[in-house]
Amino acid sequence: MERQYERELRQYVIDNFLFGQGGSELKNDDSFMERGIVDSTGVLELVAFLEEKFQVKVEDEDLIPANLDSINNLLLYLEKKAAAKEIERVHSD
Amino acid sequence: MRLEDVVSQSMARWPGRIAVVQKDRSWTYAELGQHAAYLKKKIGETEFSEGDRILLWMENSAEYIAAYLAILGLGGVVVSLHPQVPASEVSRTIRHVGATGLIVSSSIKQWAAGDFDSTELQFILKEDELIRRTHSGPVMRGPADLAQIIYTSGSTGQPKGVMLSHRNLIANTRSILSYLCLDENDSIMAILPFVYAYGNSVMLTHLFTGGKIVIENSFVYPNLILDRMLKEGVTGLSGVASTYALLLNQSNLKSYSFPMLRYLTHAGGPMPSELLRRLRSSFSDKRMFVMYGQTEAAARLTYLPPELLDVKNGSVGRAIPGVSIKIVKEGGEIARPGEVGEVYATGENIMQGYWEDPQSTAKFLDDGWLRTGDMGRLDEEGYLTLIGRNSEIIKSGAYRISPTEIEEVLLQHPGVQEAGVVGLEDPILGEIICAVVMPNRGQFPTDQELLAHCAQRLAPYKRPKSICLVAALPKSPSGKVLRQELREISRASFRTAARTTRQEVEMVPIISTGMLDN
Repeated sequence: MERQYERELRQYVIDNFLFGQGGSELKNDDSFMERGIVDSTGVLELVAFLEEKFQVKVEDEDLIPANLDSINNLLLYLEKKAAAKEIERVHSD
Repeated sequence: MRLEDVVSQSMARWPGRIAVVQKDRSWTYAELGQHAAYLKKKIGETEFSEGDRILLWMENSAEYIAAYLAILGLGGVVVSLHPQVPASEVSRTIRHVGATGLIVSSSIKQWAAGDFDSTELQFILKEDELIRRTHSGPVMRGPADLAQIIYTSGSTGQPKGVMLSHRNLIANTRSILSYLCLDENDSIMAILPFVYAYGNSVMLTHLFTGGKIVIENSFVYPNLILDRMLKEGVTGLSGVASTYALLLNQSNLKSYSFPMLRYLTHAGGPMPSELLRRLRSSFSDKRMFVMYGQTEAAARLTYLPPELLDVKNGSVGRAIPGVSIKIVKEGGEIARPGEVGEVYATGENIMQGYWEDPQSTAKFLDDGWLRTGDMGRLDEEGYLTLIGRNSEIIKSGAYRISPTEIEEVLLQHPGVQEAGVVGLEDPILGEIICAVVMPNRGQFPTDQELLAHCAQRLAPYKRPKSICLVAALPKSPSGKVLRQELREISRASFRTAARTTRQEVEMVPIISTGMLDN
């Protein structure tokens, strides 16, 4: 599952922020901010993508680089969100 | 009196007070003065002469301020470049302004490419390394009192160099201080680039009063800015409409309170009334200053006192001390209260003219009055309301962008025959840049390919957000491109709703930006 998420995230970033170019140079721990890949409106687009594609609710306090600023951070964040969702489901059962 | 003398007074009066904070480092006024003196000595070792123009290609930083003061201290003229501009723009500016030196910080990534033309420079200073050059051609002189040249987008495409004297900048800074009532206990969250007039005025007002400048160079994550504001106990925040739209829509603002924050300022383009309402509700106990100005006025022309926000709803206020405003109707007649015309301004802050551009200077400086190009009306009490602009300049975020400049870059692509660029209204940035392109016969460049082409040649804030391919650009019978129709084509192909706000329940997906019409 993680490999699939990684592929989808990379594809999204390459298509939308790198205009389909230089994808092979993008490392999973590259900071989007430092590399100038994502600007402040780009973060909004990225969040809209996460919410739609992975069915997660990105809270206002989640909008920090530790969650969103690289492919690896995004994977960790999605993992965290999935775990929280699972706990919620178990509790509601 | 010169700018650096006023700042020296602050350094002498408050040597131990913090002048600048950035990341984990802070600089006292004494340390800032020492660094400026060091740079002054270093630049003084070159062939430098009074009146020489020196380029600063640096991010907001203590080093930028020190370099700014060092150049002025040597009798030079500061010409700042946005840290994100591509090398081609640096080359163009070196040639246009006749720069003799360049000071560049190591954080400028485009420097590494090294593909800019520096043959006319006498020196380059990068960190501690001084690279001397042998060039010794004729150097143009500027007006004796010239302090700074700020490049601003003009409607013709090529940026114009606004010449500001020491007198212009001192007058404007003191006037701003008189209504913001700043003192040495104030501190500002500096997020606007110092290289442009608004950010420059934020920097100068605090240096004049011995205040603290807290620097953050990225606004990608507004939550980090809020954390920093709280930690440093800043008393002021200056922004453009998009700064506040991002804070409201893309941060956890509701969970913060800022006991030390005293005021907010807004300038750099209109703020939608709904945004202003939400902002005032989020910062209900803070003073909100709505202001208006231009680079040609060293920054500021009018301000609305916070207590009049409701009474004078929609107004950008009255002239600041030392400035007079008048409205001139199309036929040249002075407008009466309530009548619409072009906004003219005069005062000690009005520029000396445009560098090496006597035609534009004559066009915009009319017998001591600046023609702003903005349309507006004054009420009976002298409060100004802006109606619109009579030029095609796009205002996106904190930037003024010339459509022509972007069209020229698109036309460099072999697959492009014609291009038209417009601003489309956007809830966050004010306007976003959209391009409509007619491909060359038999060529089918994709929008992705053209976006990548722009990304290589334009600073990030100048890049189109959408490119729409069409069979032909809409034109009038006389062959003039119809901008309004370009906007409609762009609007149809780009749904700004997707980027509206996170508050909206339904997220509207972004549709494909490509649309080949034939």
